[in-house]
Parts: sequence; C-alpha cells; structure tokens
Amino acid sequence: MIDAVELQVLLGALRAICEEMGAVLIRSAHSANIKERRDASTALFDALGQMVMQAEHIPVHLGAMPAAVATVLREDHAPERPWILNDPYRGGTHLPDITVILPVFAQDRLIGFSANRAHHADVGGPSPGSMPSDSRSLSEEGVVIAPRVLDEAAIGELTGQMRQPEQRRADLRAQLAAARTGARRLGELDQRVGSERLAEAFDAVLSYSERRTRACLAALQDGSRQARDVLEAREGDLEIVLRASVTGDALTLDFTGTAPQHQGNLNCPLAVTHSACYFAIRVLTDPDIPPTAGAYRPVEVIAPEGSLLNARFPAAVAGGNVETSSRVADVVLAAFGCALGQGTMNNLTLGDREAVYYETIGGGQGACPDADGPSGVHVAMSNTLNTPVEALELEFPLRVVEYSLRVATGGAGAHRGGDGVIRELEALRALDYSLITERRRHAPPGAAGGRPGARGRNLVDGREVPAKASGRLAAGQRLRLETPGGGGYGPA
Amino acid sequence: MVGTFREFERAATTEIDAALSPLLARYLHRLGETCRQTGLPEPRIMQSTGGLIDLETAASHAVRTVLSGPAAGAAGAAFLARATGEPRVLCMDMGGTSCDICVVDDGAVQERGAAAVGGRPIALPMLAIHTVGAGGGSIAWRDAGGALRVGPQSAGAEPGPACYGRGGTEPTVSDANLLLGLLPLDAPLAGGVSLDREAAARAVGRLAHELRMDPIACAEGIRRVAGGGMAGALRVVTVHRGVDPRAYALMAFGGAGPLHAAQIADELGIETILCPRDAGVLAALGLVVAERRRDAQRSVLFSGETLTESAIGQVTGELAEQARRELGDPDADTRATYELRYRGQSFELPVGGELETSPEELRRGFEAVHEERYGYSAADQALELVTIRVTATLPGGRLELGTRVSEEDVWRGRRRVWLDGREQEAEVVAGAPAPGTGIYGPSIVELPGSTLVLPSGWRGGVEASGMIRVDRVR
Repeated sequence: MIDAVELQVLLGALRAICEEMGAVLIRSAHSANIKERRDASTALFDALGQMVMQAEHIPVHLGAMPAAVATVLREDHAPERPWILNDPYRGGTHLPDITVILPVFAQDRLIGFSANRAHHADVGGPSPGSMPSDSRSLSEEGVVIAPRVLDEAAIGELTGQMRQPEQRRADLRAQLAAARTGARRLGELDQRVGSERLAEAFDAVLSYSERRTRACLAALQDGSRQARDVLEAREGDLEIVLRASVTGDALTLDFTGTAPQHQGNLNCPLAVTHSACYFAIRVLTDPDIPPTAGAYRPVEVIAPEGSLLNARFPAAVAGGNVETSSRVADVVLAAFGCALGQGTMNNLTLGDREAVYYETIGGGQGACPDADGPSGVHVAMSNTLNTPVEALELEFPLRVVEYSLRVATGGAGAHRGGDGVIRELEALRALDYSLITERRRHAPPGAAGGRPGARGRNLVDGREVPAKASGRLAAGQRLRLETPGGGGYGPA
Repeated sequence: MVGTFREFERAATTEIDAALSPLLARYLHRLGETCRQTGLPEPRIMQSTGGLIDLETAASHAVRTVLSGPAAGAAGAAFLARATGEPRVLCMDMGGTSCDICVVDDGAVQERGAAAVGGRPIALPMLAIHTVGAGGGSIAWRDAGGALRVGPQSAGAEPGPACYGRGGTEPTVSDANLLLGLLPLDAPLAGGVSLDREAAARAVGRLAHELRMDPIACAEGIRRVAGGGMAGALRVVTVHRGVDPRAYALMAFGGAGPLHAAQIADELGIETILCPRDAGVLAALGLVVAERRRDAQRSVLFSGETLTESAIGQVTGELAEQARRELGDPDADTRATYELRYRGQSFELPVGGELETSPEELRRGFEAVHEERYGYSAADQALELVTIRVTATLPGGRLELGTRVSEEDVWRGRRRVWLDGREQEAEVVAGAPAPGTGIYGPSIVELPGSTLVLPSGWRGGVEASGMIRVDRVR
C-alpha cells in the first residue's frame, strides 16, 4: 500500500528527477533555443511506456513525449543503449525537436525510460533554422530521423547533414547527459524502495493523476458541446470541427469533420493534436495535476487519419506545430465557453545571406469570467520572451519604428479581452521577409456575449498583405504587424 | 534609475519603483520620526543586494529593497560562513511562511544582475535567493487525489498554527513538530505564549482521520513532505549551478530551519550541518554586520574594437565616482562587476573584477564562469561586454562572536520524541550552549530563537564562534 505521505514524497521525487534532467540539459546544451528560451522537456516512463512524470515548460511537448517512447517500446533494449528520433510521424512533433530516450535497467530488468526533447537551432534542409514558411513536404523541412540507436556513428552521420555540426553534437551530448542523469536517479530510487514497490508506486502515481482529472471533469456539466474554427491557408480557410462530450468523469474530443490534410505545412501529426488537447485540458481542469499518462486516461481524442489533425507522411508540418496547434487548443477552450486569445504566434522571419532574424509577437489574451485578459502577451501554445528593441537594432539591419499596444483591440465585455501589439520595422538594407500568421481574416471570438477581439493586419508600406506572405523589402521599406486582440467575456 | 540595456525590463523596474516608493516612504518616514523622538539614530535600510542604504534613498527608490528581508538573512549567513571558515555553504532560512535558499561560496552570496520577483522583472543587482513556499505555518491538507500536501497556503502569524491557540484550526508543520515532541511547549514561536499541544493534536488528528492514518504517522508525514519540497528545491538550485550538494555544508537558520536540517541533509547526502546559536535572529545579525553599499551601472555593449582597456577604465572611473558620491564618501572601497556574453547570446553572466582590467582578463574570467555554469567555453567566439557595474562599499559594524555565555544558562535533560519513525529518548539542551559543548544525536537543542533537531548518527559541538557544527558519523 502506498499511503498519502509516500505518494506525495514519490511525486516530489519524480518531479525533482525531471527538473534535474532539465537543469543538466539546459546547462550543457549549446543552442540558444535550449539554453535561453528553454525550449526543452524531460520525462520519466515506466517499463510499459506510461509517462509517470514530465517537467513541462513547452505545451506542444505534452502529448508528444509518450508518442516518442511508444515508438521504441518494442525494440530490443539494453543498458546504455539510447534511442534518437525526430520523425513527426513516429513520435516527433516538428523536425527541430529531437528526442533522446534511454531505457533504465536495475540489474537485468527494464524498470523504465528516461527521455528528453530539445529544439535544436537547425536540423538541415534548405532554410536556415529549419522552419520554412512555404514547405510542401517533410523533406523540405530538414533531416528526418526515424527511431534509431544513438551511438557515436549516428551522431556523426546525423550532425554532418545539419548546419553548425559542432553545436549539434554538443546539443545531442547534452541530451544524452540529461537522459543518463534521469536513469541514474531512477535507478537510485529503485534501489531505495525496491523494484516491486517502485512498480506499485508508479501505479499509485498514475491512478492519483487519473483521480484528480476525473474529479475535475465530473464537475463539468454532462453532455455534448460543439465548436468550429478555421485556419487561414493561402488557398482558403481550412475548417477544424470539434464535438466535445462529457460523460460523468470522462471526456471525448472528436474532431471528425475537420478539413483533410493540406498541401502546405499547416498539418499536425496526431501527437501534436494530442499535445494541444492536453494543454487545453490542463487549463480547464487543474494545472497542479501531475502531467502523467494517468491524467489523460479519462480523455479520448478522435482525429480522422488523413485529416489536418492526423496527417499522413510526407505532409509538411512546420506551420502545424506553431499555428494549427494553437487553433486546436482554441476550439477545445471555445467548446467550454472560454473567450479566445490572439490564437497565433505571428511568426516573422527576416533575412538575407548574412543574417536571419526570427521572432514571434505577442497579442491579446481572451478575458476570463472574472478578469480582463492581459495585453501584449504570448497566448496558449507559445511561451517565449519578446526580443528587446535595443537588442534587435544592434544585431540586425532593422529600425523599430513603432512598438506599442494596439489600444482598444481587445473585445468589449463585462471583462475585456487583452489588446494586441503593433510592431513596425524598417529595413535598413534589402531583406527577404516571410510571415506565418493567423487571425487576419477571422477575429478571435468572445464568449457569453463578449465581443470578439480585433483581427490582426500585416502591412508593407501601408498596403495590406495576406496572413501567409513572403517577399522582399527594399531599403527604407516598412513592415508593420498589428496583432489580434483577445475576445471579451460577458455582455458589456 | 536602472541604466541598463533592454527597454521592457528597464521600464518595468521603473514602474514598480514608482508604485512602491510612496508606500514605503510613508512607512519609513514614520519610522524615522519615531526613532528621532526616542533618541535612536536614523535607521539604515537593507537592499536586495545585501548592502545598506540610508533611509531617504530607500524611501525614494523602494524597488531597491524588494528582497530586503531575505537579503539580511543571507548577509548574516555569509558573515557566519566567513567566521566559521566554511568555504561552501548551502543556506536555508525557514520561517513561518516560506524558506529562502541561497549558496555562499568563499564567504560571499552569489549575486544576479537582474531577476523576476513575484513574476515581475527587476533589472537591478540582487542576491540570488530562491524562495520555496514551506514554513512552520504551512498548512497540511488532503488533495482531491488523496495525497498529503503541505502549503503553499500558510496560517501565517494570525491566526497561526493551531498550537498558537489563537483560533487556528488547520494542521501546520509547527503543529506536527510539537506533536512529535520536537518543539518544546515554551518554544518562542508565538512571542512568549506557551503552545497548546491539545489544539495541535486535534488539528493533526482531523487530517489523520481523513487520510485514514495514525496521528503520529500523519505528523511524521507532514515533516517528510515539507522537507522533501525543500530538499528538491536545494537540489535544483545547486544542479543549475553545476555543483554537487554533497560538497557543501548545510547552514540552517530562521525559526524553523534547524528543525528540518538533518532530514534535508539526509536527502541530499550532505555530511555537515551548521546551525548558528542565534539561528532565530540571523537576519538581525545580518543588518548589524552588512556593509553600506551603492551600485552604479551602465550598459556599454563593447565588443571587438570598442572593447579596450582604456574604454573600460573610463566608464568604471565615472561609475566609481558616482557610486562613491551617492554613498557620501570619496574614499569608499570599490569593486566592479562585468556582465559579459558571447556575441549572439541573449543573456549575460557576471564576472567580478578590478576597476582597471583588460579584455584578456575579462575573457579568462568569463570563460571560467561559463564553464562552471554551462559546462563549456568557446575560445573562438567574440566576447561582448554588455553592462559594467561598480559597487562602492563602507564596512559594516564590527562584531565579536562567541562571548558572554556561561554554562549556567544551559539546562540539560531528556525527553521522549518521535524521530525516524520510532519513539525514542533524546537529550535536550536548552539555552545557548557555550563553545566546546558536545552535541550528540539523538538530541534536541532548544536555542533562544529556534530548535535544532538531530537524529542519531550526527555528532559535533559548539565552535568558538558560537556555531554548532555536527557531522554525520555513520
């Protein structure tokens, strides 16, 4: 029997192991994405591949870590034989996210897996940074790594196909070091409590998370709710359709009726759809519930194969990971009566042969039933810092003409949505630009009688350009992004 | 006010300063007036840096004081670490509502150039202090999944733990400690009021019933869960810095810190525990011994051709003059901190140094710090000096430690306590034991401001400075 004290001590111990793995990874990696933006996750699994704890900072990794471990579960495992993958159709999310998995043994018995995932600065392919705005198949987005054993030969072969191979090697070694830290600590825990008791403890942690989720779901009203929304592809709107059904203490999220997969890169592999759903569920239930396989047992996600939300190889996925995932979280929240935030990361890439600059821009968050939405923040699936104007102007041939709140763009209501942001940049020499944005044609809706937030706008020298656009700015030309406001809540 | 690079952080710091200063100024002016009337000197105020400023400066720039309380405790801990000669110390300052953690290396608390406090960016130098929501008043509860949780809700000082007898009914960490016999009934928690064991038993008993546990097991569980949270936080703080907690001594202070030190040392594999005899009032000691300090800083963004010895010297000269002027002493000691990064990185690492320094010296210092923090350095990458900070200081009060204690003030006895899952007899040492006194676990040392709990397996004694040092003997 695992009592209430043992349970809490174990939860704490598992959480501490995941955090320590994260600290090791961040400390020894070289990519700025990992070190400074902490675009990385770590997790522990039991011998059956069930996730027993995750240190989660990146929403899009929530559902995707279990998918990664599931793909290598049936392999022939040995101590110190780690696995690597990034294939979005076999456990990955998008190509820059590389996952390393290490089986954990106590004596000769497999007791679990230690895994981590990190966003590398580059994984090859035609565009630097491996996040092209106009890719039409996976191979245009970088090196695809099917699950394989990660040894020195694999490290050499893979990093040889990427930009800055020295840095990539360092990042992979950091991931290995983190995985080994997790394995060592899990081994110590096994030694301390005994193998049988550890298995019992994992079960207790999983059922505990399940009980917590069920308690929250039971508080929601039974019945079916529907929501629909769209993504703004170049060739027209792509619809996402959801029927969310609460039955007692269980939840079904059924995306049947959603648009088929897309020739561009707005597609999601199923793992990314799961991540977005799990993120929304954490918002709707209690973020204090440990992110384990148990927490999601009461949830079923249905996404038809070949649809935008369960795309088939070799569909391109770069935009799905950043934009479609946001919309999936949005429709789940909308189904439960939430006012929506800006629903886009406003991805902007500017550059020439010498310099490449990528940023995402904040906007308005949706209002809550009891509070206004914050203005000028990243919403939902994005979670990054703003690039200071002073840093930007120093590093790149750009001048920031305006950076301000877009006043009164949050939807009116009993509580107002947050305001969007205006960011206007002047090119100091000729630069290519590329935009992946959303909510330019359709506004973020309010809820319970609250008004929608304002649509976003993209302008080049005052002329509007579409949500997805690329082109060239001459020296002196200005690119202006006006990001969406959040929806209001309740009648004004 | 701030003088450094990054407009958002700079503006946010200025805004917080504008919002807090009128509130703090009203209070400080009242305090100053009362001191004048009663013939006391004007108080100086502790900044987040662990250094003191005059009352008027604090009143006009409250943002400098956001970590005032924890910084005073850390300053006291650093002073005692120097006095006891311990080079590597992990400090835990546990009071009623929270536990502040910091690392003292070679007698100095690690500093940061900026940090988030309460979720708000503060772009000013401050001590690197990490806070966990676990204190003596932290409330134990059963969550919706049936786990025993401790905190972050706290009973605070009013009504306080159930054992204060002031109407609190929720079981807290202090109630658990009292029930296990680890806290004396006359512990100085509630300001001289004797504690109510029955009330503690009722509160813990109710939770035990909910959890279907024995009340004593429940009380021990509360201690384990609270200690586990602190040990986890200490581990993460050290791992982020790339150091092994086992190489450190654990210094426990604050009213509740020494109650939990041994348990945390066990979890982290730490071999030495330090407990200042004045553990309950270490923050006050910190205020007495802290240096007076002013910082002047400026972002310069020097790299390549602009990063020269003379350019650095000119800026440090100007900043030193400003800092000394603000401190009111043209001869005050000065030291410089250089915030450096490789070109392309978005965060800097601080490197201490002289006012006169060369780019080569800065690179050597930076690469050592980068190596320690991140596990590598890159000799071929361009270096960028982002911000220069000059600190001017005047020494704090002088203090002789370890005098004026006689054995007569100490009472020795024995008491039944629950420790390590079983009831046992422990030696009780009440009062402030004199240097040379031996301490052997299992024992309870009831210091004037806090209580040190040592299970069997720990032994040591009181040093000349009044520091209790015990080592693991297993």
